[in-house]
Amino acid sequence: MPDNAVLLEIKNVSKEFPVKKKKLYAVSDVSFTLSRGETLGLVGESGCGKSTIAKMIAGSLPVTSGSITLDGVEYTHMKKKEFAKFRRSIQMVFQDPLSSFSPRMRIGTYLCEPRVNYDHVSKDEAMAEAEELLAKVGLPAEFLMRYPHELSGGQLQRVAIARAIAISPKILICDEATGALDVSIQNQIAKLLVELVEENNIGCLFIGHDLALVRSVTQRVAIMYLGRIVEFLDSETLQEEYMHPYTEALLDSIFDVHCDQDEDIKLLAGEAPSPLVVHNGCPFAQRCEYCTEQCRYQLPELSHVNGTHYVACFNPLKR
Amino acid sequence: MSLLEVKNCTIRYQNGTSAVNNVSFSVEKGEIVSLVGESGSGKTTMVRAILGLLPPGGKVTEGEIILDGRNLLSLSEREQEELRGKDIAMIFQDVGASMDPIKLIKSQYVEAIRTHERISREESYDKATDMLKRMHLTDANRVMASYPFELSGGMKQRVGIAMGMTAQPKLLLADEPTSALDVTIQAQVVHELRELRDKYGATIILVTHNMGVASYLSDKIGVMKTSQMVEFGTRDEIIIDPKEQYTKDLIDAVPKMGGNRFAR
Ligand SMILES: Nc1ncnc2c1ncn2[C@@H]1O[C@H](COP(=O)(O)OP(=O)(O)OP(=O)(O)O)[C@@H](O)[C@H]1O
Ligand code: SF4
Ligand SMILES: [Mg+2]
Repeated sequence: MPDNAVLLEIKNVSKEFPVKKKKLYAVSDVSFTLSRGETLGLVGESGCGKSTIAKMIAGSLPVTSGSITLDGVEYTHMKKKEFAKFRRSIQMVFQDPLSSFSPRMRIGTYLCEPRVNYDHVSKDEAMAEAEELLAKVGLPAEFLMRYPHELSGGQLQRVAIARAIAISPKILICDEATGALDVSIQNQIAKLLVELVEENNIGCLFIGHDLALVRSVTQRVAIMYLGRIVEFLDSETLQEEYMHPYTEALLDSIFDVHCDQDEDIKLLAGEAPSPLVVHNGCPFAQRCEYCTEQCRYQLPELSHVNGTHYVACFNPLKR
Repeated sequence: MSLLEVKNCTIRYQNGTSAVNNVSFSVEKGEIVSLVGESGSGKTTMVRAILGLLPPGGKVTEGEIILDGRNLLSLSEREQEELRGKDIAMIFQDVGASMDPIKLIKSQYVEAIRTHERISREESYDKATDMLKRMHLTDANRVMASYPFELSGGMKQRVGIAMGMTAQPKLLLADEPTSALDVTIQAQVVHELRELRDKYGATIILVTHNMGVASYLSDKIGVMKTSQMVEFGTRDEIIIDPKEQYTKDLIDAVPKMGGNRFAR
């Protein structure tokens, strides 16, 4: 169970990118908190701003406005030097395992690097720890001597996770970390992550496309559309309690293994609008079958439903 | 007679290991057959061999691949070239990446049609827009006048399917055609594939790691593991009543919306 102490707080964070004399609104006014031992899921279509949020939290991308606070310390406007000490507290794991390894570095060296660099422990000590780390992610010690190309995608992803937790981060961000893996390996990684978050009492942000998978490893899920969070849901009861029309569209798009082949697919009409245009109304208005006049000129704010459930919609689905 | 028959096929790469080991299956006309299974199990190698386009060093060392009574492995390079695009077409995982980024869709599409058919540019253009509309790209003229980067992932993928289907190939091979897409766009592409078969009688072999998509679309499913076909059967035989432990594990591993969660 997540301990209630808030670890990470994102407050009114926005990100604009300058594009050809225009502004691209990648993330608009996003707020949420993450507690120790908690995993929050972030789901939404390609380009809606998920990775941009991840990068701002990791400090590799400055925010345009808003603040991010870790353990009570606001670090969004810190100087580079000051931030360097901070950086280790937030670790990321990415989608494509192989691209984050340098081909000629042995797995052992790769695992030792952060401890040697950040904590100046001796090589031998770091290597002994690396062996423990491998065991933690279910890999044999002989992998220390191997090169990246000698490992499968799932094994590499385990190594990437082992390295991320080597320096005891407070926050772990997984951006599509299992997207390239087949379902059985994806499952193993998901289980591993849940164990690590629980054991080490860290906070985790889990970004993904597959709502069923994201739900299985998180306590809460944030649904994002065009730079905004449109709904926060409790993972356990998500399917019974969702209220936002876009969440419904996401759920309708899932093909269950035991689906009925004769059932028609419900399709979401149209394409996502351009993030280069400022939208006055609800970002989902053009594609929403429940859209009313008000939705076209007024932006729906996130409002509290109950518990951890919030929704930004003028005509939330009744249930 | 089946439209496609793969008989005891073994495919090796240069280093000698077999990527596909003694695989047999058949596809009837108008069927959708999916190949599923662990990554690296030989699914892509298998469909590339059918297309006659194995990566360098890859070779079918044993077995036969028979399309409409013709053994594809005994064809000359030229004959194979002719077959591709006309009798067999392929859609790749990321169609966008295989498009020429600095050429309009129009010129890429018209060119592709004219390598197989001796018709005028105008006729090719009409044929192309017709096919785009069938793929529910209603604004076909705008799509034709766009550069690839101006289209969304789902639109590009549908353009790719349209291009593959224009010559009305006997067999359409689709390698992970939806895995680079969002779930909502994936649903659109799955819908188009289904319609191609239901309305136009297309025969499709689909490689996918999405078991839900395979289950929805397929008449038959082949399950691959470490270069072997461990189980091949009708959709219900595989999904509802699997015989092999590996198939059972695979189906169990699929995250399900109402299923158990790992997190507490
Ligand atoms: N450096 C940049 N310069 C300009 N625009 C950018 C930059 N990085 C991202 N964007 C834009 O910001 C928006 C959000 O992108 P982001 O990568 O956060 O999306 P995402 O939700 O992670 O998508 P995906 O699911 O495809 O990974 C997109 O419109 C993207 O094109
Ligand atoms: S606010 Fe209106 S347009 Fe937006 S999701 Fe709700 S009903 Fe649809
Ligand atoms: Mg991303």
